Amino acid sequence: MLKIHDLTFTYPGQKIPALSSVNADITPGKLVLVTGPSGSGKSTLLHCINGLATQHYGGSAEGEISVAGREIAGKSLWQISELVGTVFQNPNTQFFQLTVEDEIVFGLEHAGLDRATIERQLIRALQDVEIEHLRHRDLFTLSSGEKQKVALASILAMDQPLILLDEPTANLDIAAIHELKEIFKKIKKQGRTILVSEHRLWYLRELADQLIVIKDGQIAYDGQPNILKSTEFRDAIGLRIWEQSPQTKMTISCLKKHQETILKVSGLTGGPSRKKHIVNNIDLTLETGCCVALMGHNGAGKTMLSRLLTGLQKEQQGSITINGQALKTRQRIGKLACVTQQADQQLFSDTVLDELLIHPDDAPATRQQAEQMLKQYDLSQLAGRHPQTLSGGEKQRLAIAAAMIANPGIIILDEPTSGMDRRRMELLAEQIVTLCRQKVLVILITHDVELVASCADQILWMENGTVTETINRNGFEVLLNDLMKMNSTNERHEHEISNCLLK
Amino acid sequence: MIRGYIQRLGQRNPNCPFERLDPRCKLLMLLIVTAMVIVGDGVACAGLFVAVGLLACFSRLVKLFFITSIFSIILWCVFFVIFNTVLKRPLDDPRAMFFGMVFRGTTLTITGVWFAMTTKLRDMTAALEAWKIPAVIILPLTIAVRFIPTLLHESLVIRDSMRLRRIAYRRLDLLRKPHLIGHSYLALVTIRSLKMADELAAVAETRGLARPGIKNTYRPACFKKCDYYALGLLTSLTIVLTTLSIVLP
Amino acid sequence: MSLKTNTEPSGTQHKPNNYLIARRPAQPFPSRLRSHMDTYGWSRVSPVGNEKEYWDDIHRNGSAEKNRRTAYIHIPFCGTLCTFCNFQRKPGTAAMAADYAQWVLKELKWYAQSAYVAQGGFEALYFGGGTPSLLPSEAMVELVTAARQTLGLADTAEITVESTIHDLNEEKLQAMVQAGVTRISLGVQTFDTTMRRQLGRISSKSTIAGTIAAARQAGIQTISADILYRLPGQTVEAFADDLACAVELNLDGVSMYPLIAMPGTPLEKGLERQSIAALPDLQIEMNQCRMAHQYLADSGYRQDTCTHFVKSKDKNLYANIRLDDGDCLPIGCSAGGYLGPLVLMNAMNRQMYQGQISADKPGYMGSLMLPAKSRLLRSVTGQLQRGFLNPKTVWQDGSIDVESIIADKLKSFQEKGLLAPSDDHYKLAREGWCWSYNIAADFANIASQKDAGADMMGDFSGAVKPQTHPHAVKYASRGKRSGMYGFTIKDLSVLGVMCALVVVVQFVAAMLLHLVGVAVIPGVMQFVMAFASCIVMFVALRKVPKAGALSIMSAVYSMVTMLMSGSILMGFGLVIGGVLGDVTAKQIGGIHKTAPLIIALMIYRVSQTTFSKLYAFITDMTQVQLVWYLIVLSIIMSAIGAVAGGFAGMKLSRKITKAGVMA
Repeated sequence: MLKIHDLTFTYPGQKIPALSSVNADITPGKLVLVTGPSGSGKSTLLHCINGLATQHYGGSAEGEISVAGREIAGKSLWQISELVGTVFQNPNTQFFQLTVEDEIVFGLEHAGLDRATIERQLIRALQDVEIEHLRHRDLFTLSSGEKQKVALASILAMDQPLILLDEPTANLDIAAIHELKEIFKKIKKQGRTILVSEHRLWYLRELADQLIVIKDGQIAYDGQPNILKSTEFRDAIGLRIWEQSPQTKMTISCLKKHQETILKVSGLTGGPSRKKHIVNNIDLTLETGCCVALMGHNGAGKTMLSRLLTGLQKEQQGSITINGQALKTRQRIGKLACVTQQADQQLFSDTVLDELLIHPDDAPATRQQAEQMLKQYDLSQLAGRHPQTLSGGEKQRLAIAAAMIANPGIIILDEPTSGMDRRRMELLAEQIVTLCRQKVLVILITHDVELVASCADQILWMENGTVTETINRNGFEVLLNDLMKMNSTNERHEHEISNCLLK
Repeated sequence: MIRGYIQRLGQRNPNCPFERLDPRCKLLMLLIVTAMVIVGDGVACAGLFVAVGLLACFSRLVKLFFITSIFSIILWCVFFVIFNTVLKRPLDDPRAMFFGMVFRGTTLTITGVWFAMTTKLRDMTAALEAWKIPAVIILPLTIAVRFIPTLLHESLVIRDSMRLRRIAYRRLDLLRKPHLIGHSYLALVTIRSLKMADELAAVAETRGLARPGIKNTYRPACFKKCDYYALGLLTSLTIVLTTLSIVLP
Repeated sequence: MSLKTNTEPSGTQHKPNNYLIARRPAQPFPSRLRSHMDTYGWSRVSPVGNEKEYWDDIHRNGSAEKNRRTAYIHIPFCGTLCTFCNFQRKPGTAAMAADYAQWVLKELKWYAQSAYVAQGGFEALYFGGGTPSLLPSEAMVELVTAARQTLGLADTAEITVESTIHDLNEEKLQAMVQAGVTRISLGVQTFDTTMRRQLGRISSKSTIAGTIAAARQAGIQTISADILYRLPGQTVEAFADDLACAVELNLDGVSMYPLIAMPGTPLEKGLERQSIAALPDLQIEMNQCRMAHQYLADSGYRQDTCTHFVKSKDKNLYANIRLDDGDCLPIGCSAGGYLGPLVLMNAMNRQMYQGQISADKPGYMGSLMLPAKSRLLRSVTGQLQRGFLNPKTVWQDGSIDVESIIADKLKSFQEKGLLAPSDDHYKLAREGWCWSYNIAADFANIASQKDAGADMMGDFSGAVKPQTHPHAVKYASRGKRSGMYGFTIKDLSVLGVMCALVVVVQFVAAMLLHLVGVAVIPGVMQFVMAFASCIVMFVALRKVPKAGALSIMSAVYSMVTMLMSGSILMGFGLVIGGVLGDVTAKQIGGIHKTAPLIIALMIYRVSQTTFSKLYAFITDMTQVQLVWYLIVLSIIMSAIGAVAGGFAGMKLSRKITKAGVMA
């Protein structure tokens, strides 16, 4: 289905090729997992296959790629799109229309098909992805998981033999990931060839037929995926967990010594409007130097809680006390630092140094302080660059630095590791631990079980707007296992049943 | 508010009969009504006013109709009182102004809003395609409408980020430091928009939108019986009003 | 029916086994290329942009090139699928083929009004696929007759139909002859029944002989058969038996192909799984090839092309004309062909094809314009596949120095004993015939080589000499896609998103003004709105500095306004302003320069404000002097706001250039 022969690709203006001498041979009907550390060339490989790398990004490629026996070179992008369909990472920039049906039909219309065929393929795509009930829904009202399903449905409707997915679970919560996994199972049975580029590997355990690992632009491994069971292999490349749930690491336990309470929340209720309450009656007491992970499914109220805490949203009832002072909404703004998922949206200046020097009138930072901060976050050599030209990890570090330069006692990190590879996640975990040492309360809102296992002291599980469970370190494994549905007894049991049935 | 508008542009309302009309027909109706409002005299406009009132009843715009009419009447009264009584400089033709503000003004407004409320984006693009408007206009139109809520959301997020960093977060700052808004908000939102446009173009290319050759529409625009009835109705109304305005003084 | 009907005396009784070659000549290439598809190196060119216009022109005005002409009709259905085939075909029934034939008839109707077709000169018509013989008799007659009429085929024209043995019965053969079919090409592959079954073929050896006899009886003039060698587990002796059968049957033409395990075919899968015996190694394959050549030559066959052997009756016109740089008009779904310098492709799948035909268009989907060097190499490979290479006749308009391009390779192949000089040209030596695809591919790949020799020749894609085709000068590459007016998807995407940003920024500005409470001050609102929108539009037009971009943005913005508020006056104002602004900018230097851009934005904004204030005129509010003053103030303030916005936009675009988004 896909043959790559000696592919070398260089982005325009770069001397070092992004991919060198890549060879691959993928037979039809397989699900291939492509993984590797960030920046290794996974996305570049996918873009080479769908033609964007040379024709959209303007790079130069040598070597041959052929899909279904036909060469990609010399074909225009729309010709390649008949053979290769791509689902991108960000569900928000993949849509052209306002409703689900219009979106799926959009690509089919441009293929010049007649109406009866369009209708047929639309219905089939909706059934394949199990979103018939969403057919007439507005795209803006869907959750990330549903949006990603719609994106997948619009590609499936085009009936291409090869489907590429570029980090499809980057913005999804765990429930949505499980749903996506079931859909993959279904479409794989239909005989489509699927290529998934991912950091999050565990959900493809039973699905992946082939594993391709790319490191520094070259193929480091191409073969059976069960090599991922080996921890040494994963450590050598820097890959995330595969089978076992993450090991809970030892960090400073804030329960050992008595730390001072920095944040006290009582009876907090609030929401986007007076009548609609998303957060209901939350009571929290959190101490400095702790790292608290706030977990829960999408819609549980985590983001609303962070908005209430930071003062972006006015609370309906309840009080928030910081450092012993009960603060109203307006007074709270700026007291808590918050770094959101998209660091892009928090960087305002023209240079990295200026970013740290943007200061409110009441708390100016000096140039020296700014340079010190840059050194601390390993950004000194980037001081003159424009913040928007930095890589994802650097942007996030800069956002955290910019937030911390005002010396807040509390920082909230909202989904900091979406789309991150293991090394960067570990770096972030180290940074969080450093912040804790500096007596900062770190509140982590995340789905990333590995990050939580690496650096959190407590997990607050939220459901329906309240904190239903507070779990300390020794209880982590049970919860995390549950989340990843990796309970080994369950698996063994199912295996035994299927063995009996086969006899 | 804008988000609600845009969502309405996508969702079809099966109970509304006017949505079944072809947008070309509605556009034609809008043009004819505008032309009549501009050209017609008092009688014709009064007639149109009544007709539009009836239209408003059937399309749930009654409240807006009354509000607009009453507001125009009040405004006219204010002008009348000020110029005739206080300033002692009477208006040239207060009757014409009354007709103009109340009848013509309300008719134009309500017909426009009726068009906006009953036309969905997809129907509009289908109608434009039927008129052989090239893809260079239709594709950006689709993208523009679809991105308005996204960019609005971006703006809100950027505003929140600015508030968290305490950059221009008070009302006073808008007056004292408006340049900060330009530097911080506008630059960032423009950069984000351009990046999104680039990503979207990549998605569009891989979906095969650049394919030459015929493009088939799933719900093509076509004139149906209801369009002809509507146009027929409007034509007869035009004739009646023209006759009346000639016959009556 | 005995096997020996109509046998001509074949001379001495020789068996092919006598030709087993004892010595093993050295291998001139590392691996053997087995398909003509490997020789298409000359076709790897990028689209020029005006291919469709060129094609349209040819069909409107005819072609000035004096190429020989053929036509090809593709029937993409097969009753059963052979395990080795990866051609464009789908499993189908006769009824499906008949249905499809109706679409082809419609396409032929389109071609009936083409000036190119009216010029006539078609010498051969080929029905390929799939299995054209799947068509039921009535459909076959209708299609062949219509094709003959449309193309103006003379009675001497060669009309070939690819067939399977089991599709042909007396009734169908008679119908075919009546319609004008002169030649059939049978997919025999092998006479060994067991092997036939393994390849997915149906009939047995005796049936083959019977059908051939019936065909002769019905009046088919030329019967040719395809034979495969290099079959799984096939020895040289087994192949020799096949050859003996073929000669015995006195076929007019024999085509010999080595079996290729195409990717994705059941054959390839079977070989992988080892459920099918392995293919013979190269030595056995070469022996089979050499033996076949010698044996058939001694049995009275002449080698016509590298795969086809003929007796006197089989002219093999279609293949010969195509290899002689001839035109081939493709008809039907997924058919390909040539038209002058264009390589043509019809719609690849049936839905697309039917869509085109329903819209009263032919099946043409796309084409590539071949530069002169590619055409030369195509001609070279065409000659080589016919067994010779004549540097004088291979390219005749004098625009290219042929010798210098092919000299190196000629010398090297002569040294290897694959080409031999003969009079003023070169012929393929005995051994050269067996490596003909390799030789042809080697020449074909000169097109993609970037060596010093090629550089010396200069850039042939732009070669303009007096003898080149007049169309090549008229249609110099513009690099634009018709219908998109020079705008790419990227441009349109930027314009769309920036238009959305204009709406949002204006909304935000209006909200902020209301928040601060200055909205009621006359003129301020207009100034700020103009300022806000022009900043963004300046940046957008800096990113897409093409003429027409402002018109597009204003048209889109007016549609958005219509959809959101139904204000038709403002809609008009926007479009008129945008177009006026664009035209003005073009006149005074181009919209890519700053001053014309700012002036254009001002015109645009003033037009918008004026038209939206027309409302006041219509409602007679202008009787009040104050309203007049307010209107004039609005217009002036919006003009100033636009200019200020333009300058601010300049600053903004410089600021964001560092972010790398303005490339």
